[in-house]
Amino acid sequence: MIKTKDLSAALQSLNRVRRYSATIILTLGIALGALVTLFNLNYQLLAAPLLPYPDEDRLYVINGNLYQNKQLRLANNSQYPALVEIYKNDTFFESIALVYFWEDVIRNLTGSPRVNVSYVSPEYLQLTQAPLALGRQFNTDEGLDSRIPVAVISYQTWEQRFQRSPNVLEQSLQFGEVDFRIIGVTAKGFIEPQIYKQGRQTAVWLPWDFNDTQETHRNNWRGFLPFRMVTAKLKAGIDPDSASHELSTLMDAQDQAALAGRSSSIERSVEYRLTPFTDKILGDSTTRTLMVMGGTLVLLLIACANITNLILSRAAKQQRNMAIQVALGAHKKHIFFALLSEIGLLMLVAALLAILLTAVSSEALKVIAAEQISRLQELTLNWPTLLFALLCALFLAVFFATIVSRQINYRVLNQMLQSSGKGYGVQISPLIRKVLISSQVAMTCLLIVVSLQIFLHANRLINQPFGFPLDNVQVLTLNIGNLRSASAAERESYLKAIRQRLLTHPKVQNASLSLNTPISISRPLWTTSLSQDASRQNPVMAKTTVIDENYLSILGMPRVVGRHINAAGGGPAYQCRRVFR
Amino acid sequence: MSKPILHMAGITKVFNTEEMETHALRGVDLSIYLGEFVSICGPSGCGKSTLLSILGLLDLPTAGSYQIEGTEVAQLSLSEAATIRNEKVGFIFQSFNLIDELSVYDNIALPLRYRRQPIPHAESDKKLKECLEKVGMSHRASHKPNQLSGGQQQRIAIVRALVGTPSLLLVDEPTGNLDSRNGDAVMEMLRQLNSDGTTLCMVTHDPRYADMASRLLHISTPQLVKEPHETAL
Repeated sequence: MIKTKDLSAALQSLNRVRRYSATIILTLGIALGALVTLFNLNYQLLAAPLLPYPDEDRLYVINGNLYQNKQLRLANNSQYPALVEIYKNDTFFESIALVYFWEDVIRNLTGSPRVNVSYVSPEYLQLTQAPLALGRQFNTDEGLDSRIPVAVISYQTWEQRFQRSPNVLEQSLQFGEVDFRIIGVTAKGFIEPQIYKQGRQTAVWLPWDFNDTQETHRNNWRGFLPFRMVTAKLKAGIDPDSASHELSTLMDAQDQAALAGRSSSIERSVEYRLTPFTDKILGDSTTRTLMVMGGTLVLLLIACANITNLILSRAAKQQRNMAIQVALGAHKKHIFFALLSEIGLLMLVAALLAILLTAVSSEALKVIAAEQISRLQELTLNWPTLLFALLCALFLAVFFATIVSRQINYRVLNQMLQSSGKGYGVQISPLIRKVLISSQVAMTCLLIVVSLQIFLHANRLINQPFGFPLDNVQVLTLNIGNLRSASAAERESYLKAIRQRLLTHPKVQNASLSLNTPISISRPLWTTSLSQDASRQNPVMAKTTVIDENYLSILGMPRVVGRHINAAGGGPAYQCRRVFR
Repeated sequence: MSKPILHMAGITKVFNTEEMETHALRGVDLSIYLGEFVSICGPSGCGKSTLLSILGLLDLPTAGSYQIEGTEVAQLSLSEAATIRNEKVGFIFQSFNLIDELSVYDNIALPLRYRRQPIPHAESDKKLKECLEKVGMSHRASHKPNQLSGGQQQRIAIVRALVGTPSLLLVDEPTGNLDSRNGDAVMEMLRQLNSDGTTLCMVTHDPRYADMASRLLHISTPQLVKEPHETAL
């Protein structure tokens, strides 16, 4: 066993080779730090504590899927009336809530900030038992069809927009033309379930009634809308698959009934599937984080190959000391434990450095990767991670000590002092050297090749042409305010007036109205079912947006056949970017 | 005459290389008795160091019998040899062979650290301090070897050899790296140790110091050992 004297001797010995010690500690500390950081992250995602919500194993998200000819055509889009039907169904659920994730402009705050808004039924915040810093949650009186304009804001909104003023509950927020009275502030520690998008933090929760879905869609079974879903707590003992099946059957029947007589309904079916909160929140984060962890493991192996070389070189220099110890009666185990003490101390300090780096990088990850990796808000340095770091250090210490110990020829070491230093006790075999160098080169090459592949792929994506010139094209996002509830004709007239005003500006050459930007990330395009013939057989789900006659010419989009949309069109017209065959 | 501490009979040592066989020792017979001070001298290459290394169990003979206090030790395993070396043999080297990273105190404590039966700290501490006191080096306990003169280092090496109370002290050219004043002092210390009952076997080139031994053995060739004082081989 390692004794205090071994550790004290190791400390004194290392004190004389500070550069060697620093090199090993830094090399291993950084490589191990990367691995431990990823372990910490993967532990958080895969094995960590359950979600921080009561009965989290019974919490589900319900989204719609559209099938045509038994093939999935549209995922995670729901029919508005179906969501409301499910919300009103109390067969399977102990508690159920509607939620619609959107963004809007707060008109009465300085700078009219655009913030993330969630339109919810009162049960939504209750499902997660959102703790409050001030005020209250929505109550049942503020449920569906009550149209009571109240708002709950997040702690960050309270901090950033109201400087944590205790009088915030006397204030209101204006969205569109409606003033929403603030009734509550969520607590700082509230972790919002990121069931829609990783890293998305709601700034303001508003009652469901005020969501901007047009009246035409509210009772329309044909339209499948994104961002809207149901969250629910399943009753104890109910099988989620059975619930999914029964809900789907129910909604499909409603869908068929609502679309009875329309030819498009014949071959389609809808599904409303219960997805556990955990699956929704994790998404595909774990695949990516596990891959990166694999990369850090390779990095650690390269570092270990380097360190093995260093340690073997030092052992060769220490052979005189070992020979003296052997002459004085040291056994193999004494030499091994002396080596283990010295290497163990280095590994321990490297592990501490790795833990420090993990703490720092975990905080950095929260800032940098919040939108790529789920549950980052909850990321902390936990005990299993600390244990993992220390076990890695222990394993590496034993590994290195064993490698060095195996290189020592004790019989030759015995004779060293008697042969006036002519012999040698530690000789690193050429094979070991070759294996170390080859493995370093191989692993480095592997990392370089993989990194290069990823870089080249990313570079191709970044630099591939958009298909249209974007120089001097600017996007202006408009908040239509109270026009949301206006008729389509009124909205069109208003937007055209804005366009005319823009054209009066000397620096504006042309302007166009459209529902989306040419390449839209935050606002996905609509999906529309298109068919080539009247029979509506084999329809294609096409991404769709609404534009005016100037849009395509401003972007200089090439046409394959036909012409651009012109101003004279009265009925619906489609500009296709792909020719259907 | 008392019982021999060690007894060698027909000890042969052959070094084999790919090209040739070198006989370092041929049929050496040697007995050393309790309280003796044996000096071995001879020209370079005659096998003195090889003999000393076999005496100290740092090397194994190719053939022959070797007993320490009646126990056959000629073909011990590394581990068994280490235990006997630790408990029964003390070494003093020409180049002191102190570990530079360790303090004087830690250097002399090394043999006690390798004991099969651990010695309680208080006991070992007392013993170490007494030993340092004996050679007048108490005030240097926390110093590193490179802070000491050659003579002081050799005194520390002697203390280290004695601290485990060995049956036999093997001394290899103890004055080789010292000036005559320090060399004399070290030899006087060894003579005193012998007077106090310690059994010594010393290899030296210096006839002045060789003559201080109670028995002088001369190796002229690998197979021939002369005994001018006594017939013991």
